[in-house]
Amino acid sequence: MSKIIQVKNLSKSYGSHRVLENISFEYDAGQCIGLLGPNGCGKTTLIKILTGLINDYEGEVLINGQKPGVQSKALVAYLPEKSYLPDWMRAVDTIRYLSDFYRDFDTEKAMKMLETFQLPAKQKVKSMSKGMQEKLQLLLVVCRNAELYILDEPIGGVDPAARAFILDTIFSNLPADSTTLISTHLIHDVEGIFNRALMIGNGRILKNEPVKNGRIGENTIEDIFKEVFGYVWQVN
Amino acid sequence: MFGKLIKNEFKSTAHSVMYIYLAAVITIAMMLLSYSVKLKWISTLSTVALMLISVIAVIITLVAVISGFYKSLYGAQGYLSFTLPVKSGELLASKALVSFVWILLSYIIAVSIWIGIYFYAAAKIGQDRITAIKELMKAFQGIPGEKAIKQMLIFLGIMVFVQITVLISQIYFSITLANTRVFQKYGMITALFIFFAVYIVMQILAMLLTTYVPVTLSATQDGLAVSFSNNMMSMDGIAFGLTGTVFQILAAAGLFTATSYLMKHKINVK
Repeated sequence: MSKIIQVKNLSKSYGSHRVLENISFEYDAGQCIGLLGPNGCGKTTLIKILTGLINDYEGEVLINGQKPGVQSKALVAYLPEKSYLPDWMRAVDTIRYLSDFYRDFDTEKAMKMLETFQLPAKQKVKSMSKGMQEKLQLLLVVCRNAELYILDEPIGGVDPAARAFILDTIFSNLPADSTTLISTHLIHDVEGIFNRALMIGNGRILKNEPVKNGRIGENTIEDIFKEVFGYVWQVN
Repeated sequence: MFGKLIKNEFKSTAHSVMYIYLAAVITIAMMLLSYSVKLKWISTLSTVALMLISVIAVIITLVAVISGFYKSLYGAQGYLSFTLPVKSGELLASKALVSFVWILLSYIIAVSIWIGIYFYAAAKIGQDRITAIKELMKAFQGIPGEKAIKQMLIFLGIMVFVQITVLISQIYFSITLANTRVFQKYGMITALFIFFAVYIVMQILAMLLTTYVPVTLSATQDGLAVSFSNNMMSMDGIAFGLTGTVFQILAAAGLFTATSYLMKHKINVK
């Protein structure tokens, strides 16, 4: 099976602050990987490197055998943590925009999902509520038939009902043979769907283990997470 | 992909500038209407409004070019732009080309408005169009021969193209450099300092080159001719420095290349 993600000796600093320190890992295609760690541990930096948003790093990063660039970006569907759609666009414009640039974008499905999500096609992004914008961004990602989905905190900062909706949308729409990398610190809601857990802390890989039924060996991912990252909240 | 980038860039920037052009069209319509119904106060008001619009159109276009470039690449929208499966050079070129068209359009509209007002005013004082054109041509007094005037106008047109390209290259480079990791922490004011630094350095270098490598275009009876004098006032009239212009074209190419490099290798989208 081909390696969809290969990271070798990756390091990244912001000034004197080392965010990622010589990390290496690789994954076969077709898995659901949980990128786990507390806030500020380097998850988003790693994701930005994988998606080609950060290019000044040390080490080697390959997506399906290619360095992050034009070819790899065509394979990756990325859901950032923040709202990124231009204010002036209407919902339908965002769909047209994505279909212009990604061959794997399913316009018909997107138009149907607009109705399902109760998003008015002609409403401008700037007049949408935060929840509507999040729904629209999610729709734009799941309407791609990408090889790799990178989702940065897709359920962060939303209520439990919205979490269930988001997770259901993601996993009922993504192609079965695709790979998904989900960054989150809300493990309880998602641990059952991972095949693999990658835990990052202090710029290093602390765990990179296969997951079966939400468990790493005998323990749940949540228990392992508490064990690995308990130090963050220790006073003494 | 380049065509799609240009199409979407036009769509995006049109939202920022279309209102001022719409205002210009409405004002011109009012002015023409006032001319036919002979309402003096409307014609005076619309003339003043048009003068203001001509200036505002250029300013708004420049602001739209600057804020559009910043927001679409280095604001939150950068997450969309930089993850598109396109080369950074294509992204930059599409933005530069569209900015060029908008700035050129704003200049054309501004100049057209002023020429229009000139003829309108001439008509108001009873001058016919031929007399008005003759009066306008007095601006070219001292230039020997019609051929030289025509060539000079073509050269001036080329100079406008060059100046717009140079301006865009300076703006894009300044904003991009200000968004690299080294300068990002100082905020967007850095872009302004970088812009003026680049502008001043380029002016000084162009001046030095013009002084020490004096290649000029001088107006003669047979049209424009190349001469090797750094005297900007030739014996027959006006002369244009070629060295400075060539330098500016090369510098703009250098700035675009540097911007593309920075976008590809040194940008951390926030």
